[in-house]
Formats: sequence, structure tokens, C-alpha cells
Amino acid sequence: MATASSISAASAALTGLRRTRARAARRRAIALIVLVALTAALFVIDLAYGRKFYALDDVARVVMGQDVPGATFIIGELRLPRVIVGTLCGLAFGMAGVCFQQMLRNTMASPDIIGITSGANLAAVVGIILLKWSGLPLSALAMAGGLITALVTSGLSWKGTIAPSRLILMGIGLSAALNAATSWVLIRGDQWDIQAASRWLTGSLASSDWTDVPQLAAILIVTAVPLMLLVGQIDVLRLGDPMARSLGVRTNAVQTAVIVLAVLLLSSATAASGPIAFVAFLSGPIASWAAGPSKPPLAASGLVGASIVLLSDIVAQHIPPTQLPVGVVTSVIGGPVLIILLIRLSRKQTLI
Amino acid sequence: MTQISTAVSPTAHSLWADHIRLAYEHRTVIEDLSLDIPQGRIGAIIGANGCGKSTLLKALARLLRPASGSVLLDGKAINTMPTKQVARILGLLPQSPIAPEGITIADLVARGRHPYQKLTGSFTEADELAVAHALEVTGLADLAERPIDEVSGGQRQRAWIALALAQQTDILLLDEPTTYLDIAYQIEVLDLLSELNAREGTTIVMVLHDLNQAARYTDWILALKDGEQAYYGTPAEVISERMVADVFNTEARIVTDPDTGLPFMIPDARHSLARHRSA
Amino acid sequence: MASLSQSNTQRQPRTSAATKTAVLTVVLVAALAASCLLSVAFGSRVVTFGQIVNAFAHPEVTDIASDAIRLRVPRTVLAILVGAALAVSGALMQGVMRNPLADPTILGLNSGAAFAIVCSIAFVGLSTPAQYMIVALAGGALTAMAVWAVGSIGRSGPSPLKFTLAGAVIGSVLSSLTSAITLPRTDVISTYRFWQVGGVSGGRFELMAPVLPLMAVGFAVAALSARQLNALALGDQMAAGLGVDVNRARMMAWSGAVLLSATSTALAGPIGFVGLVVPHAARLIVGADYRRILAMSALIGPLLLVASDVIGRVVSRPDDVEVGIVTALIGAPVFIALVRRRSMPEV
Repeated sequence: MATASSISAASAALTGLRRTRARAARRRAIALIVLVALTAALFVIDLAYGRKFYALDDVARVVMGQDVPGATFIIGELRLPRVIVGTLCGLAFGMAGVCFQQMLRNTMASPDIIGITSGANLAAVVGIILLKWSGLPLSALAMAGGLITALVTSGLSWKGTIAPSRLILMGIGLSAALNAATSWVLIRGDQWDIQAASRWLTGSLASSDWTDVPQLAAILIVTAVPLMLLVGQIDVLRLGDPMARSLGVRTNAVQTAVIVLAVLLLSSATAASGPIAFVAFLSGPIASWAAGPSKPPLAASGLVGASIVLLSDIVAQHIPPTQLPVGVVTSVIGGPVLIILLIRLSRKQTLI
Repeated sequence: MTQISTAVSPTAHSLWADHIRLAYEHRTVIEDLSLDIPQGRIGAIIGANGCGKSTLLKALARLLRPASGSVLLDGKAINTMPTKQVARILGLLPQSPIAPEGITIADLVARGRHPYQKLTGSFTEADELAVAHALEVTGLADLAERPIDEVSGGQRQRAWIALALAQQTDILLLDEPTTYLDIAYQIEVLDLLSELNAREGTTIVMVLHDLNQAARYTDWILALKDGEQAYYGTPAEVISERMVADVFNTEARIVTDPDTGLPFMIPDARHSLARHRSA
Repeated sequence: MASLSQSNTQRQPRTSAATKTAVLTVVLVAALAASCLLSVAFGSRVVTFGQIVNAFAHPEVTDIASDAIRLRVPRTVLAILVGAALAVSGALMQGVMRNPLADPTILGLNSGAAFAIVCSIAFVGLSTPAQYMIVALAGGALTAMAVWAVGSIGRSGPSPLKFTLAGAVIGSVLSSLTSAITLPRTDVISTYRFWQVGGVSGGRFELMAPVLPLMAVGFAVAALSARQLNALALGDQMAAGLGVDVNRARMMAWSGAVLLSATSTALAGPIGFVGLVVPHAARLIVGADYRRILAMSALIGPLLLVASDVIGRVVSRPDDVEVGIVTALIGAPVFIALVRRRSMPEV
């Protein structure tokens, strides 16, 4: 077989290769450091800055577990779980979204477009209005709704292999039907339930408490680790199905695994906070822009997602006259950003 | 049936299609075809549009499982072998691969090392050398750091071939590697593949449209008609006026290239010929 | 040249396809007539054919059956109008965007109408159907203009892709704002959610009358756009080469689509799936010629909506299931089948 002995260590090809790889690695590292710092900063600001402002050392002492009169309850019991849930949900939305977009080679393939969110929504609305559930059973139901929708969508799109464009079309069609069913359930509910359902549908951190944290963190770890290990395979899938298969990627197995993991991730976050608009859609392109195109930016996208949610939570609590659900803010901020981003992308990429 | 001599090196791998039937859903493309790919040789699959050329290539590359029969790599059914192991022996350049937006040529070519990578995805020195070698022989060394979407079509096609070279496979299948390239680039790509074959003994099979290129660059040609083997043999045996009429349903004259002694096809364009003769 | 070489054997299947289309058209017209009849006959009270004739022949009689019939007639007419308008509008949008998924919902127009309605309930205190209608019309039209404006940003001018994105994003933002307004106001939610499902049960002739001229203009524009859409389907450059002013053609078809969808949303609320699915079904029957697609859409749309309305009334008597739900339930399987049939190019 080909021996590469003819290549001297100083050849132009080798230096070029090393330089381009080093540059890409450096860009990824810098992006990650900046994003971690940004997320941490937003985390602290969101924690300290509510209706009442707390000094940073008070915040730090509460987080360390000390008792600070007047601060322990507000920060420790109200704000800390809310901010942690926001961060975890942002991570989950960002990572799940970018997995779909990269694997299906299409920015439009984010979970909110291909119907998974609509499935979780319908399940949650049924849970709130018809079954009068709340808490853990409701979360489980929303998760099941998302998962079943994803499996049905992939199953219906399956023809020996999953063609991305067919999956996207199928998802958009199914989500239209699921949304119709959701509004149908909504008109059958009582005032109070409708309020709860609408709040859930908008995406809100207002009712987050400590009970949400363990399950969310557990699912995040259980799904994120295997997804990280699959990054190399997802990366090769970007070359198209035939190329990926000829390079030894078991495309169907990888796609199935990624869909299941990402949907678990996504629906557990959706169960905790409701669908926070645009986070899954926006994080991936922003992360690619920051971390460069050399690899699917899984971690970076998660951090971008967390930053978007935290920033929106800060804005939602302070800018408008009444507190808004965080989903409204992500949508109002995210919409214009998305338009700019996608118009930029649209020059090179086909939509469907 | 003609026997094409093989150039067997001790490490060579064999690829053999054994009575395969190829079908998409309910549409059968190839009914029953057997083909023993001559080792260490360059071959072309030719035929009219829709005759099953690409389908056959896909089956040879294990991307399409035969409805019956099997493709054997070193005597083992290729679909049952671990796909990563196959990927170290056999490479495919599909017709329209997709380049992730914005990545550099070196980065693209490096993906050819995927079959050799562990779960953690670490890039070894052997990987580096293979990629650098592939960049070098395809003449892309100076373009290594250029984003793939900013180079010319010919350079992009060479980058894809470099990716397949970095894969370091003994067998290389290419689906229309010269389509969309201008004549200079077409020749460049075919020369590159000839060199690869001469230097490394790589077995090459490609789908080609241009019969004259097939005649000049290959050791054997398989002409498909409606999913069946219509002609098989050396270029001199296969390329004939009868074959062109039969397989492509058009008239052509075959002359002998004075330089190489190989057949050369001249399409019989009735109108232009008539005009010139009458003038 | 091509026609000379065309042999009889090649011509045969074309004729039989034409016959098939003609037969199918007759069947569809008959089915529409039958659904209309059923729509007048069925409801919480079933009336006989004789009673229907009687109610029309003697307008002065007022018994329960005649009143029911007289209520159901405008409802049926509304379903026909809205069905045709939505289907034609969807076909126009899909043509303009060269996107098989374009419809008034996906392009954000319905969110615009909903946002306008919610604002008018919450801040202005409007409450009558006539007022909602005007507001929805204005909201839909303004959103359409915004989508056009955003879709035209950049040097390259309007492109199908930018349009679709602009519509989807603007729609999403508007629905978020809608929930921001409704969340703290339970009274607004309770009014709005009924409008939001969409339905034809509120059909009354005096409400329809003022909107009809606009709808008629929409249909006329659609008819005039058909030929240009055929050219646009070949791509902008090809269309320009054929002598079509691409941007003007797109603007015209878009205006027609907006008029039709905004008027039907004003009359019946947002009804999904008709605009999305019907043009595909029409394309399947008549092929790629937009003149035929538009005409066929205008036939299948009313059939789907009238039939859905009847089914919605029958399955859960004496209640109604809103027609928007039924169209979704019927439309979704059709849509799935369509997507499965399509051979997908690798993206």
C-alpha cells in the first residue's frame, strides 16, 4: 500500500495541513473559552440581578451553602434553581439543535421545524388540560410526546435510509397537524388550565424549582457524552450519505442513535421549561460561526444555547414593564438574528 | 469471454460481483450480472443514461445491497464485513459528494482518514503523512489552506480524489470523476489516476461518459445496456461501430488513433457531414 | 421537428391521461355537489331533500327545519369560497417560492392576522365579527408586506429562499408577541382561542358581502399570474430569458395570494392544510401547468373544506368539530403519502 516515505517533514503539504489543523483547533479552543466565560458571567448576573440586587459576595456565599439573612431564600430557593434550569435547558436545546442541523446538513432541520417540539407541545397540553397532570408525570408525558413524534417522523420518512429533505418535509407537515390538534385541545379547557398551558407553550422558567434539576442534569450527562463521542461520525456524515458510507460510517445506525439521543435531550429540556423559541434553531449557526467549520460544534452550540436563554431571562425580568416568559424574549431577539444569519447562509446553501 | 490479465501484487485485494440482481424498491435495474474486477487494472463502465452504471458501482462499493447474489471482497460477502474494515480496502468517490461549508482543502482531505480513526478521533502522524502525500500527488500542496468553496471546479474535484487517496485503499471506485470539468482538468484527473495505478498498483473502476477517454485510459471496458452486460473486453475489443449503435443507439465511425493504435470514435453527425460533403 | 417524429404509440398514453383527467374532474364536481347537498342536509337536525326544496321555494315559512337550512346555506357558501381561496392562494405561494411547503400559515400571514386580532381585543376593545374581519385583513396584509420587504433585502433582490425564511421567522416572532399579550389577560385568551382554531360556522351573507370584491380581485390576479408562474417554475434566469419580468411577476402572484389568504382568514380564521395539501393533489392530477393547477385547486379546495365541515358536524353531534381540525386530520395522511411518493434528491 501507499507508503508516505517520499514526504519529507518539511513539505508544503505537511506544513499546510498542520497549520490549518492547528488554526482550526485554536479557533475552537478560543471560542469555547469565550463561550464558557460568557455563560458563567450571564449565570452570575442572572443570579444577582433580580427585583432586588445582591452583592456578588452574598451570591457567592449563598451558592457555597452559607446562610445570608434575606438572601438565602431568594437566591437559594428561587433564583438558583431557575438559573440552573435555564442553563441546562439552553445547553440541551443548543446541542440537540446542532446535532440535527449538522447530521441532516440543513439549517432548517432544527427540532422546532421538524415537528418534535410540536409533539411535545401537544402531549403537554393534553396533560395539562385533559388529564390535569403536573410535575414529573407531565414532564414524562411531554418527553414521550417528543420522542414518539420523532420516531413516527423518521419512520414515515424511512425508505432504506433517511433522506434529510424528506424528513424535513414530513416533519413540517406533521407539525402542522399536531399544532391543529393542540389548538383543538386548547378550546376545550377551563380558563385556569388554558393559562397554564399557554405559559408552558411559550417557554418559561418561572415555575422552575429544585425538583427539575436532578433529572435534567442526569439526562444531559447520559445523552451528551455519547453524542460527543459521535461527533466524528456526524462530521463525516456531512460529506453526504454515499461518501460517509464508503468511509466506513454505518449511516443508518449513527443517524438513529443521534436522533434518539438528541430527542431525549431536547424533550427533557422541553419538559422542564416548555419550548423556548429559536434556541435550538439559532445556537448551531452561531456556534459554527464562532468555532469555525472544521467540526460539528456540539459543545460550543450548547454554550451558545445556555447564553441565549440566560440573556433572555435577564431581559425578560427587567426590560418590559411586566415580567415576560423567557420564550417571548428569545423569539423577539432571535427572529431578526435568525433572518440575518440565514440570509447570509442562503447564498451558499439550498433550503430544502 | 475475454480474460483481462491482472497485475497481481502480493497485497492485492479481489472484488467480484457474483450473479447480482440490483433493484430499488420494486424497480429492477440489473437482472443478473457477474463481474470479476481485474486486479491492479483500470476499468471503465460505460452505457447510455439510466442503464445502471452508477447502480452497479454503488453495489460494488456496498452502498446498495444486491436483491440476490453477492459482491465478494477477497471471497467474503462485502455486506457482512465490518464497514470500517472495508473502508480501508475499498474507496468510492460518489458523483456529487457534499463539501461542508467553509472547511479548507486539507481539512476535507483529512476526512479520508476516518476509517483509521479510533473512537476518540485522534489524528496520528501516519494520518498526517497520508493526507500530506495525497495533497502532494494531487498538486494541492499549495492550496491546502484554501477554503474548498473558493477554489475552481477542477481543484475541488482533485481535492475529492485526494480524499479518496488519503483513504489509502487498494481498490478505488469513481462515479463520473470527469463530469463538470473542462478538458484540461478531465485529462489531469485521468492522468492522476493512471499514475496512481502505475505507481501503487491500485485497482480502479470508473463510470465514464467519454468513450475516447475510456479507450485511452483503461485496460478493460464493460458496456451495459438495460442493466445487462452487452460488451466486455479490452478497449480495442469493445469499442466498435456495432457497439456504439447497439449500446448508445447512435451512429459513429471508429478510426484508429495513429499515435496509440487505439480505437477512436467520431460521432456520425449526419447534418454537419451532409453540409460539408455537399459544399 | 419533435412533433413529426412523435409516433402514434407515444401519443396514445397522452390521450388516455387527458381522458382520465376529464373523468376525474367530472367525479370531483359531482362530489362537490354531493357534499354541498349533505352540508345543507346534515347537522344537529337532519332534514330531508323535500324540506330543502320547500325552504327555498317558500322563503316566508319559518319552521325549525327551514331555519336550519337557511343557516346552513351561507355556511356552505362560505366553505366553498374559503376552500377555493385558500387552495388557490397556496398554489400561488408555492409557485412564487418554488417551495412545496409554502402556505399562508408557514409564511406567517396567519400569525400576522392573529396578532392584529389580539391587539385589537386587548388594547382597542373591538368585539364584533365585522371588526375582527377588518383587523384580520389588515394584519394579514401588513405582514405580507413585511415578508416581502424582508425577503427583498440584499443586492440580489427577492428570492424564494429568503421569502420562506422571512415568512417563517416573522410568523414565529408575531406568535410569540401574541402569547406575550394574551398570557396576562385571561379574557383575551378565551376570545382569541376560538378565533384561532378557524371555522365556517359563523358564515352569514351580510358578513361575507364586503369581502367578496377583494376575493374576486384575488381570483382574477391568480388567473392572470398562471402563465408567468409556469415560466418562474423554470428558474429566475430561464424565466427572464423567456421575457418575463421576474420581480413583477412574483409581486403580482404574491399580491393575489395575499388577497385570497387574508380574505379567507378574515372570514373563517386560520384554517390549516388546505393551502398546503390541495395544490399538491391538484398537481398530481393535472401535471405541472399552473393554469390547470390553479383551476383544479379551486375545485378540490372547496370539496375538502365542505366535506370536512360536514364530517366535523356528523362525528360529534350535536357539537361541531371545528373544520380546521378536520382538514388537518384529513390533510395529514394525504401529505404524508405525497412526501413518501416524492423521490428526494440528496441535499
